[in-house]
Amino acid sequence: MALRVLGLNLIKNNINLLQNACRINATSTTQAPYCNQVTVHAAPAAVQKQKVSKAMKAYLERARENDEFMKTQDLDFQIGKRHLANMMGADPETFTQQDIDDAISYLFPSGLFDKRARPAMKSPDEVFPARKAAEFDETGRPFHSMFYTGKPNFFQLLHDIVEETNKLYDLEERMLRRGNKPDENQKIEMAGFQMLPKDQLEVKLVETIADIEYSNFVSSMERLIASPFSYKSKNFIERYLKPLIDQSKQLEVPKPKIDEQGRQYITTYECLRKTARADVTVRMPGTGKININGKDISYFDVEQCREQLLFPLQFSGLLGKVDVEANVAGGGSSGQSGAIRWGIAMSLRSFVDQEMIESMRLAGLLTRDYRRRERKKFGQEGARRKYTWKKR
Amino acid sequence: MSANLTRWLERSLHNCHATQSRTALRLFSGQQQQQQQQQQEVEEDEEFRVLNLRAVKKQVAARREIKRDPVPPPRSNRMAVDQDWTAAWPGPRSFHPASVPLPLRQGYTERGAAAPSKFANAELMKIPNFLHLTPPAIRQQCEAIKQFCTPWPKGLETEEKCKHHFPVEVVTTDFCHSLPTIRNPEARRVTVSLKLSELKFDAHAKDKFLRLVGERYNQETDVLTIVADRCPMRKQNYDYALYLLTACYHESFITEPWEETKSEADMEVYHFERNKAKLSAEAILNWNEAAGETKVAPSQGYAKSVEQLINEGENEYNIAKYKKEVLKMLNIPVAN
Amino acid sequence: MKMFRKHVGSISRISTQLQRGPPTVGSIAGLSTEAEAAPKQERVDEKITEFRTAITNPGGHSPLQIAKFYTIPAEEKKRIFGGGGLPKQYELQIKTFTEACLMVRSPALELLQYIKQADLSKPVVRYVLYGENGVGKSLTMAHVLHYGALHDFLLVHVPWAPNWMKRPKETANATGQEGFIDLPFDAAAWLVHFKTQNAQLLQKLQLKTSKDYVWSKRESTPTGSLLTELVEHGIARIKYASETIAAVISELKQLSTAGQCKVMVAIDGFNAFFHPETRIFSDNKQRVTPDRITLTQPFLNITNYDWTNGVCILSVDKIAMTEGYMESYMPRYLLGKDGFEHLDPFVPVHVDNYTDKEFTNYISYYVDRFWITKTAPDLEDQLKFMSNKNPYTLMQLVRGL
Repeated sequence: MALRVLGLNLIKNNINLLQNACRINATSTTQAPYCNQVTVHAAPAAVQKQKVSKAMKAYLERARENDEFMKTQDLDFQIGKRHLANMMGADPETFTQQDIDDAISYLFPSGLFDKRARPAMKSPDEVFPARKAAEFDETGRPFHSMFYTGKPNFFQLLHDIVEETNKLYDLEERMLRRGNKPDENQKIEMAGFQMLPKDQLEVKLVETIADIEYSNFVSSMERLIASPFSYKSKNFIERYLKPLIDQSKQLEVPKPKIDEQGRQYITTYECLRKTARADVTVRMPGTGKININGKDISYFDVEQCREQLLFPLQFSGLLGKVDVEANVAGGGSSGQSGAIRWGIAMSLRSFVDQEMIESMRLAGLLTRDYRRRERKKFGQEGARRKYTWKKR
Repeated sequence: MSANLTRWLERSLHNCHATQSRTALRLFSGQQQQQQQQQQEVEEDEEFRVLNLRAVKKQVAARREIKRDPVPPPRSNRMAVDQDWTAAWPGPRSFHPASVPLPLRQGYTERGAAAPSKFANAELMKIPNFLHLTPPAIRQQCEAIKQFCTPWPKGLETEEKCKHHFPVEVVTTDFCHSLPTIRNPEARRVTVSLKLSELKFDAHAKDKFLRLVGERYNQETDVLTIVADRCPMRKQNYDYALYLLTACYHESFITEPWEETKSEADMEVYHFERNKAKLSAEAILNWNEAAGETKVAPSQGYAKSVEQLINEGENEYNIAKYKKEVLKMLNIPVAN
Repeated sequence: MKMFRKHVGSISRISTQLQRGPPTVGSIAGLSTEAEAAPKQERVDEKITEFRTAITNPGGHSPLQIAKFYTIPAEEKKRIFGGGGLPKQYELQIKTFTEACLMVRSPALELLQYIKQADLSKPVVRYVLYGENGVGKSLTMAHVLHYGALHDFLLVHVPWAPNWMKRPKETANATGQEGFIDLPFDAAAWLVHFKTQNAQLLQKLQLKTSKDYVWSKRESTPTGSLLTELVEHGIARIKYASETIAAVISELKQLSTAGQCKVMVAIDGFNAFFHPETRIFSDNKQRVTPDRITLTQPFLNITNYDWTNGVCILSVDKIAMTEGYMESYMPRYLLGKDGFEHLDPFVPVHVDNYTDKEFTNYISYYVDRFWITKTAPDLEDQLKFMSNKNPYTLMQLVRGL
């Protein structure tokens, strides 16, 4: 709910202005009889009339400008879209955003790594971020009672949380007196959920908040949730929870393909560890044959490397039931075995059930190991070790 | 008298002032509305007034403004949305914001800021663009070239047929760049390649030819590649390469007298007949035979297996075959 | 795998207990007395266990006994392998288990069959054992040697030829031949080995020398003296040990061709004789090639095909070579051109890793000796894949810490 409602707000302000204008008219008429009396006081006229504050004026100006700017940008975009459709020889009426993206990546093939840094042509609504609308009326009087805290939305939220908590405490007390117990079945399950992260909360509130403020929010939310009757204010709580997505569900498990002998197989490319890279093929009904660069497991002399290689197979209970083929290059033996281990584990996902995938993930088999060799520093013996200190 | 007069005058003046002020007051109350409106207008653009106690300093002489021609609006503003883009952007050219009517943006920004627009954006200029190769442009060019095309010669429909009729492949490179000179030293290089199976050889000639061409022959692909770049002109290099090929081919069929002195170390392949393997096999087979009797020669299969073992290199298959042949020759019953 | 490690840990604990257990295990001498008593008790349950065979004579082994263990009697083991012939690690295992068990495997059976059915009147057939590191070439050879020792073959056995090229005890310039290097201690050690292996048989056959050997002005061995005397002389006069070996071997060749005895030649690491260089330096600080060592010639001589009434079992090994010559385990590569020509035509015998049956039997043997305990259900599978069924790797995996 980022207050993308500058336009809307404008109407609101306009209404205010309109009302203001009316009020000014009204005062002028009503104050007419007091004119003569006023002569005695000789009070300044500014106090009398409803003055539009400077800040409000500036804001109105800004809003108008912004509105105009957005209008021109939108027009530009519409025209640009038609131009692009014309360039690509397509029908401008049916030219979608997807077509635009394709056309831009064809016309300007950028090799930049970060996709956000590549050239793009997007609707201005997406390009220009939302800004906070006015928080005060024409006279400069804030709408929000907590305006002067600087972060009204945030503190309002805290206030709401506390209010909810107090309500629950009262409820609890009443229930206790009546001898009712909280319903265990309705208890809020926090297992698959997580508190709204800070950046998302910031977007929701349209305010930047400090770390300590976020931790305040978290602790007060926790207090609310810990209350035995918290399910009574479930709706409120759920607004500030984010469902945790099962990571292994999130990663798409590829479907095995069928080879000439009618066996299922999966090839995982780009298995990386240290400087080694490998591609690993796992074939399903097998006898446990292992083929690494044309050799069997004796490719690795070191016991530990062999263990690394066999661990995912042993963990998933498929030792001796699948065949493994790997091509590996670069790096040393531990890097190579690590790369193959990861490849085997990734490939095995297609052959085991969801539960096993989850436990493999928890065992760290599906996690890429991004550690690399740390550089040597000058003035030191190695990456961290210092030269022996000797007093002269 | 005069004094009285002046006093009266003064009094009358006083009265006059009083009446004036009274009227003014009345006026004020009557004009209040008007004045209020005026005042409001004044306030609209009124800044805080500055209390200037000292005399206003001498005005600084205004600087002479440098006159700049106003920047004209980008050309793209005047482009029609159904224009012929291939005419607007006919050839390869680096990006120009005013000529491309697209509201492009590129650049990575911190959260909450828009990406830089196309104007004065060097990043967009770094990207090699394909604005001159839009699908309509390609279609148009293809149409234009069509009239110069001739039908594909009959009998050369497939790659194999081409290879069969034209076994020699000549590769030259033309360079095109913007320099005062149109010549590139690399353009004279001529690469002639040919599958060796296209040439007819006998055993001696083939061996000699391979020795003559040396590393120009790739054993894995059976392709001979001759690169000629010693002459300044491409034509000369081409002639030289073909000459080299012809000369080597014919030279390989000539047997020089010194070639007879070729020893075992010079042999390119292992021959059973010429090696110790034959002698020892014969000796074993003819053990305890008298000198006059007919000698038993080792079997052909054995000879072949030894040659295969050494020429093709060792592998499980070759060695198993060798073992089989040896067991057969030495009359050892095979275990089952 | 962590569980697996833990498991191996437990194995090691047991192994240490075992080692500590019998107090007499200190020496082989102490061992023999125990082992003599043992077979009588065990004979009964030997038949019960499916991985053992009661046939202790390799001559009786047939494909029925494949993948089963047979026990070499202690005194025979001491006689045949006293001067080497079993790998060090295996020796250690034998000591720990207090019995010398060998598995009957197909390459050995194949060799035995060849030898049994061979026509000894024909020139000797050379059998070359080859295979990856640690697949059991030496133990296959040991199995055949045992057969030879029991079937009246005179054994000409070199336990590990590369020892002479890589770490000779002492080098000296040869007296007889110019520019040659002598290894007197190694030669004498070999003579001792030869004598212990063949003492009984030499006693029985009473072989005589065919010509005079004049060692120096005062020393000589006349025609018709016993071969044992010749050997004794070589042992006593270390200086002439190398020449004695040459003499003994040429005598043996003649005697066997004449049909007076049967000779079994077994040389482990034979390709060391054809290695491009040795670690021995000559007087002018140059590395010596193996053919400049006096010990090389007699053994090359006896592996030639020009004699009868014998068998040659040679093994070629990657670890007999040095760095840079260890790409492949194939005989042609390891022997080189000269070596191949020297041996051709030979019968290559491939020794491979364990088969599944052999592997399970070995595991049950280890379990039987309380060397490992099967607590993890898939321990056998893990060991199988970790070791790739390679005998040496398996032994290393379950070794004590």
